[in-house]
This record gives sequence, structure tokens and C-alpha cells, in this order.
Amino acid sequence: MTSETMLRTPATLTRQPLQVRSKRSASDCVVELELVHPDGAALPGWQPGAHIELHLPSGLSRQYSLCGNPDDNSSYRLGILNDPTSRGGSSYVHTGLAEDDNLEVSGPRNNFELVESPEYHFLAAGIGVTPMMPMLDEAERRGARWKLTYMGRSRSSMAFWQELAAKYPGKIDIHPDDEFGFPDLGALLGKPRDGVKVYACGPEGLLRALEGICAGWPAGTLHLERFAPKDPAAAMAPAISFRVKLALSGMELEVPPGRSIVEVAEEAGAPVIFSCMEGTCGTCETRILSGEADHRDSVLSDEEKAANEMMMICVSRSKSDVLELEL
Amino acid sequence: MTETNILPEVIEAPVSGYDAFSLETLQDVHTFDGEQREIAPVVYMEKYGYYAITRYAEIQKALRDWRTFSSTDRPFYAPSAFRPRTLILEDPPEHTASKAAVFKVFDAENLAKMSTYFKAEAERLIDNLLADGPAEINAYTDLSVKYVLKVFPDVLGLPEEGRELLLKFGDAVFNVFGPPSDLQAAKLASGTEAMEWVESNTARDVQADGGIGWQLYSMADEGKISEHTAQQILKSIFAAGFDTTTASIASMIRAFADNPGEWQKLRENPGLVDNAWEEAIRLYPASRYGGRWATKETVLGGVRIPEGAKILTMWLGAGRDPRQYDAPDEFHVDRDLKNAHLSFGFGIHTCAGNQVARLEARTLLRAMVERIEKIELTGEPRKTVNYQAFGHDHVPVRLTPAVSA
Ligand code: HEM
Ligand code: FES
Repeated sequence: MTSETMLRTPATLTRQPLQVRSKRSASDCVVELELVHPDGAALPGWQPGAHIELHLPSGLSRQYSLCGNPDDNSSYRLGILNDPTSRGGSSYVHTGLAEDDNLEVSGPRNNFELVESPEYHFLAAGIGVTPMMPMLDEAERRGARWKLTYMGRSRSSMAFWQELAAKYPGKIDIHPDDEFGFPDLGALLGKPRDGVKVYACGPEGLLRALEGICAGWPAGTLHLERFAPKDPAAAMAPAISFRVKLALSGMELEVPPGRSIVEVAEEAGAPVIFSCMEGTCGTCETRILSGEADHRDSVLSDEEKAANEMMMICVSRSKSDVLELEL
Repeated sequence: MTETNILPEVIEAPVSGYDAFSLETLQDVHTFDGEQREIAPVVYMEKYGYYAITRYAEIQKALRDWRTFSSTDRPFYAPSAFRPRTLILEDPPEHTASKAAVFKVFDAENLAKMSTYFKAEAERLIDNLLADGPAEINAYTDLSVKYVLKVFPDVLGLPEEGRELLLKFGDAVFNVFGPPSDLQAAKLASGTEAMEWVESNTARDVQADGGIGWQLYSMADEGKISEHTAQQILKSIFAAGFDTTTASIASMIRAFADNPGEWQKLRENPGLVDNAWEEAIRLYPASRYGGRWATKETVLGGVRIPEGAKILTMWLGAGRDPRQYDAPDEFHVDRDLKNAHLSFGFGIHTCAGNQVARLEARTLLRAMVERIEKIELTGEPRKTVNYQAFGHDHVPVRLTPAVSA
């Protein structure tokens, strides 16, 4: 293979530094980024459902859906959830990254294409709304019937809902849990029928539930975007909070959804150490004194997980309301 | 000794006549450490009276269990100015405070600043090397050392003058934990030349405002660590942060020169850069072993280890453990490492500088992949001879630039 081929390598594989043109808050836990080529050059094209990969200075890579307009090749728009369980990932974007900074980017790539259909039902939860946004425009352009059900914890945590509601009145169903509780998905989708495609993006729990419901629908109805498996914490975006008792430090702390034990404990001044924040290096291993861990690391064997004696507190969480740690 | 809680399958460690520190061994550590690995997961090295853990799974297990496998003493330990006790010879809770401090100075924010700088320097260096077309170089001195001794000391705020002493210092540091010998005496003597430079450049008053050293001393002001610890941590960074990375990068280039197909694979898929680097240090770890002692009698991999035993964790050999890796002697940039190797250690003593080392190496490799079409050996590579460090100090290669658009 020669450099010729290298030069023809599709833009999707090579990395390019892009510049942060703007960074602003889109909800109480989401920031919106606009990335441009530093020389103002055109960016590689993409289709609704595509994502790009950000290569962060810490060495981590994270994938984010493009949520802007595919016809505009001057910039990429992203919505990024502050998920401290992927420290060095989204938390770097939230706190470390500033306007005019450069970031290495590869992509776009698309594993979530919008296939042709006379009708679409889009379901998004939380940050899962981002890949849906260009899909709505595309569905509209194709003249299809469609609606979006947009779920989230509360309106203040949900990004872009005002923008969507204003653009497509009557087609957007905003569903914050704190106002309506968790929706009855079966009732939302209605009876199985032909000619509908269901597109969904959100936490693993939602996607599993939809897989169950859509089992009775014509094959090929359901299209899912799972969060990048590289980021297991995000893939299983925790929907519940729990309390953690630090026996040695004599503290009891609340670990809200989207934050890790490590982060909460460090902030409170407890002595914690961590390195990879991905559940691979074993630096943060901590003994469990009571309660039941929800293991999400790749260090412990299945037997060790079942034994419930030790856990990696950078990614793992709790199945019980209270978890007591030797910390 | 009681027999109550010891299973019948438990064996005593096979007694081995292996001398892990003889000059003959040091010429070919992969082969000799590998032979011990195939005897048993734990062997008893009779000559020195130490135990050695030889296999991947057992080393990982031991490194996770710091209560049983303590760091506060180790084979060949005697107080040494080259190896301060801070971090490496500490257990929790002291270790936790020191480690939190050193991780803090390599947090996402500091790494972000380093990243931009490393990239610019890596690209400049490669562009210069290739300015007149294909270049024949020693990848250790002309590329790896040049790059590492430029970027990391710059980030630390060290003077240009005397930087090469860091390599001598590191070379001594990585020969402390071993038996007295001519080799050790020579390494320590050469390291002594560097001691004064290291002492004066870790002193509080020379640290530039906002720099890494300044941040450490500021943590001392906040009461998070003592001022003495701040200086010892800085010294540990000097000790562990240079010849490890220079050796690893030179070894990685050798791996590519030996495997031209892998370079092509990487050129076709630059997304594999990060994985390629991890694979290179699995194959050629810069650190050959670590040390622990058993706080109580224990059984590891079916082998009894008595209370008080001093133990070598032989992670260089574990990087080629066939129980963990298929075709372990081969270099494959797309090998599925399943997130793991032991070349940065594991558990609470995981390399404090792993993120910096990774950033340095990946940044350089990325700049190379974009610019270099071919890497060919032009002579015999030469390995270094050390107790604890492994590397290459001579990797003669021809670099052929990629034809740009
Ligand atoms: C490729 C380069 C490197 C390799 C292969 C490497 C390897 C290692 C290993 C295997 C350990 C574990 C020691 C043990 O458990 O007994 C370690 C610890 C350590 N490394 Fe690195 N290292 C590298 C680069 C660096 C750099 C760049 C720094 C400083 C910036 C650094 C600073 C340290 C320190 C301070 C420790 C002690 C940590 C502790 O005991 O908690 N290393 N390194
Ligand atoms: S920080 Fe690496 S496993 Fe938790």
C-alpha cells in the first residue's frame, strides 16, 4: 500500500483538528458545541443519524451524534451530556474545553441511517434526542408522517426541547418524568402495524423495553442507536440515584444519576484515587461493607462480581438504596 | 504451620536455580523470564531467597490485593536516594494521599494543555527529520530521546541545560532493586552525576509559577501532602518519567521495523494508533518487574507463599503469557488486548504517569503514521542491559517519507 492510497483514505478514518466556534449550555446538564475547520474549509458531509468521534487530550475517544443540519458543511453541531462517570470524556468537554480550542475529530460515520418509510415514530430519552434532530428534518423533507416522543428527567435537564416544539408544533410530545412519570411505551406505540419505522435512542433500559414491545411488530420496524459500547457507563445511563456511606471517612453522600461514586467522594474530600475511569486499571478498587454493587467494570470476573466484596467505584454503581464502602 | 485452611492442591513453590540478574539473563530477559513463567505461576528463587510471580493472571491478582501483597518492602530494598519511599514503597493510607496528589497534576486539564504542545513538537520533529527525503537514523537517540527530552521537561519547566542527565538518573533508578554487582555499581555511579541536577531542579524555589512542580508544592501549602512529599513526588516523576518513555518508544519503532506489514496496516487504518502503542508495550515493557512482600501466608495460583516472603512481580514475562495472549511473541497492531496488559502495573500502584506516557507516545506515533511511508531496519537493533528496565538504545532505521499531495 502506498501513500497514494493513504491520501485517498476516506475522511471518515483520518483525524482532523477542528476548532470550537461556540460552546453554550443547552440544559442544566448538556452543552452544545459548534465545531468548525480552523481555516474555514468545508467539513466532510453526513446523513441524519451520523456521529463523529472526539479524541480528547486525555487519550480517550468519545462518539457524539451530529444534531445540526447536514446541508450546512461549515460546522458540526453536537449536544453533550455531562456524564462524570466518563471522566476525562464528557466532563472534560464541560469543564476543560473552551471556545477557540482545537479538538481532534474523526468521522462522520453512520450506523443509524434513516430508511425510507411513509411513517416514523421517533423516541428519544435524554441526550438520545441528538441523532433524532436531523432525522426529523429529513422525515419532514420526505413528506412522511412522523412524531417524536422526547423523554427525560425534567424539562430543565432536557436539551433543545423549546427549539423542537417551536419548529414542529403538534408533532413533538415532551415527556419529563417529573411531570408525567415514566410513559407507558406500549400505549405510546399502539397496535403493531405495517408501514411504520420506530427509531429510538436512549439508555439501555428504554431500548430493552422497546425491543420487548416491538417483538410483536413486523420485522425491521425497530431501529436503535446504542450509546458507544466504549463508554459502558453511558450505555447503561443510570436512571436512579443511591446513597453511599464512606465508613472510614464517616460521610454519607448522594450519588445522583450521571455521576460516579469516585467523583462524588472526591468532591466531598474523601481519599480516593483513580486513573482510567473506565473500569480497566484497578486503581479505584474498593471494598464493599454492605449493600449490593451494580458492577460495570471489566476487571472483576463473574464470580468476583457475584461475591459482592470489591468494586471499581469509577464506573460501578449500586443496586441497593445504600451502599457502604471501606473508604 | 496449620493445615486447616490450606487445600490439598496447594503446592510449595518450585525451587528454581534461576538468576534473574546474571549478565547472561540480562542479555535476553524475554526468553529467560519466559522459561520461569512456564514452570509455575510462582517460583522460589533460591539464590536470593525471593519468590517470583510469573504469570499474567496471578500477577494481576496480587497487584489488586495490596493488603496481602504490600509495597512497604520488597526484594533488595535498602534506603536509596535514587528511589525515595514516596509512592512506590507506600501502602494506603499514605499511598492514597501521595497518589491523589500526583494524579491531580496529570488531570484532564493539564493533559489538554500538554496535548496541543506535544502534537506541534512531534510534527515539527518528524518534518525536520524528513526534510531532505528518506532519513537514516538511530530511532532511539534521533527520534525518541530527542522528542521526549524536549516535550516533557518543557512541560515540567526544566532548563535545557543538563536534561540528558535525566536518562542517567533513570538508568540508576532502574538498577537499584537488584543484587550488588559491577553492573549495578556502574549504573549507580553514572546516576550520581545526575543527582545534584535533580536535587536542585526539584527544589521549591526553582519551580515556575503554574508548572507541575509549583502545583505539587501548592498542594503542600493546602495541607494535602507535606512539603517533603511534594519534593519526593517530583523526584519520582524525574526518576520514572523519562527513560521509561524513551525506551518504550524506541522499542515500538523496532517492532514496526521488524513487522513492515503492521506499519502498512496502521497506515491504512490510523484509528489503530492507540491500540498499536498498547500492543508495543505489551511486547516490550519498559519495566521488567516490580516488588512486594507478603503480609500473611497466602496461596496464589495454587502455590503457597509464606508470610514475610519478598516477591518479584515479573510483568515483562507476563506480557507474553500464552494463557493470556494468542501468539504472544507476535506484534499485531489490531490485537484485541481486551483493555489489559500489565506494562503499567495494575491496581493502586498503576503507573502514575500512564496518561502522560500514553499521550506522548500516541501523539508521536500519529505524527509518524501521517508522514512516514516505510520504516526499515538498516542494522542490528541493540537492547539495553539493566536489572529492572528493558529497552533499546540502538534502533538503526531508514524512514521513507510519504509522498504528500
Ligand atoms: C511507557 C512509559 C512508562 C512505563 C512502561 C511505566 C511503568 C510503570 C510501572 C509498571 C509502574 C508500577 C510499579 C509498581 O507497581 O511497583 C509504574 C509506577 C510509577 N510510574 Fe510509571 N511508567 C512509565 C512512564 C511514567 C511516567 C511518564 C511517569 C511520570 C510522569 C511515571 C511515574 C510513575 C510513578 C510515580 C510510579 C509509582 C506509582 C505508585 O507506586 O503508586 N511513569 N510505572
Ligand atoms: S479508575 Fe481505573 S478501574 Fe477505576
